Amino acid sequence: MLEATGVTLDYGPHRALDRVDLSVGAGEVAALLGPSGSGKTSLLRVIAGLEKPGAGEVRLGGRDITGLEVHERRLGLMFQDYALFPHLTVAENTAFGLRMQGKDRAAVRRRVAEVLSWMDMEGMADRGVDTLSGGEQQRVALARALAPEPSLLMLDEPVGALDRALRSRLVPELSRLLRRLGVSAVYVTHDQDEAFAIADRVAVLHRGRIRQVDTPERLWMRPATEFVARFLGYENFADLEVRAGAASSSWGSFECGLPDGRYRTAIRPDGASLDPSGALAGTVEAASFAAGQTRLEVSCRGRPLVVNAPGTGPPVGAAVRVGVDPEAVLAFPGGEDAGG
Amino acid sequence: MRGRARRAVKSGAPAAGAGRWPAAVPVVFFGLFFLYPLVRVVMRSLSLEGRLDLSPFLEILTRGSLRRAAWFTVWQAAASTLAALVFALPGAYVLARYRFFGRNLVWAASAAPFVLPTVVVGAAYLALLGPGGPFGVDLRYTVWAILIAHVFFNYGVVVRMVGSFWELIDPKLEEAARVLGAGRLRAFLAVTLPLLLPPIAAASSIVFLFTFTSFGVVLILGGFGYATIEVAVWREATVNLDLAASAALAVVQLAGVGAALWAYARLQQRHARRLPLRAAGRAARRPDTLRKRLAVGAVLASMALYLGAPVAALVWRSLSTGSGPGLGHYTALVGGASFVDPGGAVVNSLWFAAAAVVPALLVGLASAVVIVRRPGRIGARLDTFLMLPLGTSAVTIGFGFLVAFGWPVDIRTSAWLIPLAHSVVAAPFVIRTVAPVLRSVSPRLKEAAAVLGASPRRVFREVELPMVRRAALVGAGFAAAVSLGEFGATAFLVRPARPTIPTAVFRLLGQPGAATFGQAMALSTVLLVLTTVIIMSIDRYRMDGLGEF
Repeated sequence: MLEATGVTLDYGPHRALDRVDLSVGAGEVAALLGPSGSGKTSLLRVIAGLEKPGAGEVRLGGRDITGLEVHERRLGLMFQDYALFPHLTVAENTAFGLRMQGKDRAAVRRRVAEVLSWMDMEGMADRGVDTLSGGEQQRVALARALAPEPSLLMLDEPVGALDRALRSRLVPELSRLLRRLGVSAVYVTHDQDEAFAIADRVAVLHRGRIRQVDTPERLWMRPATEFVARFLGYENFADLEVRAGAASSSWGSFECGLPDGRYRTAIRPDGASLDPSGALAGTVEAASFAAGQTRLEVSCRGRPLVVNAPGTGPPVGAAVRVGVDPEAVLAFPGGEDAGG
Repeated sequence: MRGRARRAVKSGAPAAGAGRWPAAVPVVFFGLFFLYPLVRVVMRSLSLEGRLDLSPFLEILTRGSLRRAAWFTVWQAAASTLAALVFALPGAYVLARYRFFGRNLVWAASAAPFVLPTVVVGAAYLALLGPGGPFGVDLRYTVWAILIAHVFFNYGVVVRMVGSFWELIDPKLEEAARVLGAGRLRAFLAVTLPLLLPPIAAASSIVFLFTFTSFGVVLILGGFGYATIEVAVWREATVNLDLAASAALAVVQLAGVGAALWAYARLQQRHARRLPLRAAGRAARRPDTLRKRLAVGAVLASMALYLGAPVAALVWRSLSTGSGPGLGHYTALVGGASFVDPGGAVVNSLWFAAAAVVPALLVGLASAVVIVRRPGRIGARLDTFLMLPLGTSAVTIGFGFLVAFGWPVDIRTSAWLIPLAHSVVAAPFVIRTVAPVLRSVSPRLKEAAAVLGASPRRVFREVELPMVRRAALVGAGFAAAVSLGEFGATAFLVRPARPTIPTAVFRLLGQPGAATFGQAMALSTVLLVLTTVIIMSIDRYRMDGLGEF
């Protein structure tokens, strides 16, 4: 469906996008995941035609659209702060794209009513958009983007402006809607939970470059670089020297499945756990409770190791032993973008 | 703009008890020196020898010259407004949407014409468009010269009022329209233009108001062929000595001004309801393509030409003597070679300005406090009432002084009337500079001071006053500049023996001969320099003087 290749974009001396490739299949939902300033929004703007890339091309359904004007592309874009037209009502906002296509009034009315009914917004058709709550505005923005049946829908942090509770309710709703409509979509977010919940594939962006594209599961299990791992919430990183299945680190030594050699590694968050027969010994330095488990900072030979324990866990100051799952030790290729 | 700011700070609770006394200052001052003269003008227009007589009004309809003046006033104001919009909107666009080197300077310079004295502008356009000008045309005494000068005056008003709002419109709205299939023009027409209509309408009513009450420019550039009501009031009163006709014309003028102000207030209210969508400045981008650079360059160049040419022509003509370039006209000013006393005029003007600044500042500060704190109903009404002197023509004020202060003691010939009239004209400028700053003092700060034990009076002295000191200084500068350039009211009150700079320029221009013309140019240049120095020295405080208009 969408095929962006080698897209490069400069804002003056600042390189916002550096030879970015991204493809989205028909009916596929792809997430662009990255910290702020990583180039996610810039990539959307290039695809939409709002920025002219310095190099690279954008193809849509096999057709090169790089040289096409914004309004000729027939894409759907939902802006981060919605960009609803303040002088128009909910229905008029939704109808805008249809009117631009020159649809007759009856057809526009039918389609607006249909799209608004998906959003449960039928009753608000004649309201001014400045009278709506954040969640309602979000739905109008989505309705406006969907109404002209775009071949590709792009959503720029669509729930970023909403509170946490509303967000966790809306994301699955949005996911269901996108599947039901079968629309190809690019979903931009800085929140991995959101990206994982909605996307078939996730592309991680960092400093204008795509670092990894994978399904949510594969991405979580095997982050390709230290940056990706850190961004996904990995916390335990170490330089290891492995000899005959035994890894020595500054925490101490433990069993490990890697072949002999020196590695930069990360331990998956679920790979370090409290274990009375564990190889590493340490003291609990800090503990914080959240969502049914306790995050412990254990000092092993003076270096912190983060361990999640079910329930409340041991108190600060307690002496504990930590076991490391050999399969959860991931090695990165030579420190290319270490540190992130 | 104003309406919103006011709503936002409504929470600043009126300081009980302590806030009431400042209301007396503006009420007494404006009551005595603004409202009373106006009332006397209205009375004069209606009653002749004690019984009601509407004949002066009928005369406006029947006497050709007066009817023509009324009609001309309306249509030239409409045409000037339209022309100002056409010329200024591209400038507003460029300043709102593009970042470029010198943008702040251009923004500041766009306000300059607005604060220039009318006489200077009139003289500058005589230099530019009169005989011997660089274009080799003579547009003196044509409506074109008047329209061109009016656009010059109001260019900055439109650029700033519309531009500052345009800046706040999120460019993403237009982008959203583009993504939804609207072409560039269509996106502008369907989204940006409707959002811009309120500031455009507000700017239009202000420009209409200013050109409706245009005096100096029309008097100098229109000759005997074109007169606005304003000019007719002056001519009837001082040349034909028909005070009844003058008064009737002034009343008609007041009605027009009232209508324009009412429209403006209504539009401002609607304006306030519209949400600004983004903090100013962030939306502006560098012009990144050749086409955009050319467009921005073209707009800036035409702006520079438009704003710079008359000033350049004025200075150039002031330096051109019969025997080539030189300072001859300037030395003639002080040499006593002239039939008016230009050197003395400079001294007089400076004295009057100094004398006008004091009451203008006091009244302006007290008024600002009253408007912002709005103790009770009086405060609320005062806000609207204090706008009136800004809109009311200076000529009406001068004429009102002439009508009102002949009894019980005839003080019409007192030199003090001139700075008094100036302070009535200038005080609103002080209010408009100080009030927004005062309003921006967070209620939290005042509450914090109160919790720490400061009485409301102490809060004002310890917190608010130090914060508005700079604004007050800027307001004083504005008042001084206004006084130096004031012509409309002064034209009624001045005595030939004690001219001000503008009246001296006007008299010099009224005399034939290259020498007096050169002296008029030189004296105008002096006034131009004085005004510029004042405005530039207060501009350092980065106050947006026009922001509140």
